[in-house]
Amino acid sequence: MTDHPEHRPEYKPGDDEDFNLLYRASHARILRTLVAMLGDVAAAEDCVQDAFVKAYRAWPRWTPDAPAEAWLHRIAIRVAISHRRRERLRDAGALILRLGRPSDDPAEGVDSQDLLAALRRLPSDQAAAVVLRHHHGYSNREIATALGVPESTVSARLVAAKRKLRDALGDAAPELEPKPM
Amino acid sequence: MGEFDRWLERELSHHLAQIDPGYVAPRYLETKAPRRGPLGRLLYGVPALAGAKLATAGILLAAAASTGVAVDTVATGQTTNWGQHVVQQVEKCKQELGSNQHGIGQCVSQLAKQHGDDTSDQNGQGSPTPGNGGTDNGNGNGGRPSSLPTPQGQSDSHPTPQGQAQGQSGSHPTPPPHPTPNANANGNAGSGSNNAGGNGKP
Repeated sequence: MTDHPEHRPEYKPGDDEDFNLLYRASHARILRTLVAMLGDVAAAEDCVQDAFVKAYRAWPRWTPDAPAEAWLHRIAIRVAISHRRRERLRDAGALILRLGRPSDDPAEGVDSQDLLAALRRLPSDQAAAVVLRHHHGYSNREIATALGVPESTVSARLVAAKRKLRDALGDAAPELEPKPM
Repeated sequence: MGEFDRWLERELSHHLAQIDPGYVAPRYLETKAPRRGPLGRLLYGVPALAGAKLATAGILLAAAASTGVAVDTVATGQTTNWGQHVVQQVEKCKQELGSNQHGIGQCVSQLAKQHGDDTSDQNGQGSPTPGNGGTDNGNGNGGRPSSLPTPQGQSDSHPTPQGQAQGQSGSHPTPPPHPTPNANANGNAGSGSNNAGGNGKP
């Protein structure tokens, strides 16, 4: 597991100093998750800041039954999903305007073997699950908290996400292990 | 963990670990309001809420005053009687002046002034009266804004154009009085609401 937090401090809900500590401890990690989802550092930073504003407002209502960082991830992933939705609407609008005219973007339609590009093309919830598992070392339970879904859904999303990544990356990635019979 | 998973983790670490923004000043600090505990919310929240409600009420009252909504706390019957009285008095003034003469405004405003003085004495509040140039139109309502010229608004500090005060000078014959609902309710003269003695309507 990579980048797994060894120490999870005890935070007090509603405590400003604890929230500041939580921000310092988790800002970079959450930023990386959103970069993987969005493929853009600036957009990810913007979304992270929005997420922390929302989290700060909800901080007094946070309960320690789930890790604080997973709770933050949940908020941040929702913000990122909203951002992606707005982006897609804008792209759809631009595409409609461009109908019939050749694309000016040389990268469009070309399969990129870059992992981050492939992650960005995944559905948001699948991309988030992959990063939380394989970069932050979250367990299925913690990912379930972060995404607000059952653990079984987390497993299904991870399987689907890795299959799509393998298909997108082609020979750049090893083969997926076959399912046990 | 299979080979793909290991590869995935290596690649993610390679791509993401290099993203290290350092300390970025959090935006939530810009939205930070003094956070209070339950007791603080009780001490500060309720008065704040009450203050907000009072402020809202004050704004509504000010808006009502500025838009001319008469806050009539005096019995409506009093204003209705006054309206009828004004109509009668205007008729009387016209008869005194004669059919081709002008200046009914002066006659009517005298009436209004007298009524305003009477009402002021009655209420004993020293509230603004027509003679004192206040917003009161002399019928004790106290809610008519000064922007509405009234027949009785012929005061030093609440001047109205002379043409209105004395009726249309020479060129506009005074139409016959006709009572209107507004005139009755607000104590405006029927003809005064048109052009004589200051208009009762905006």
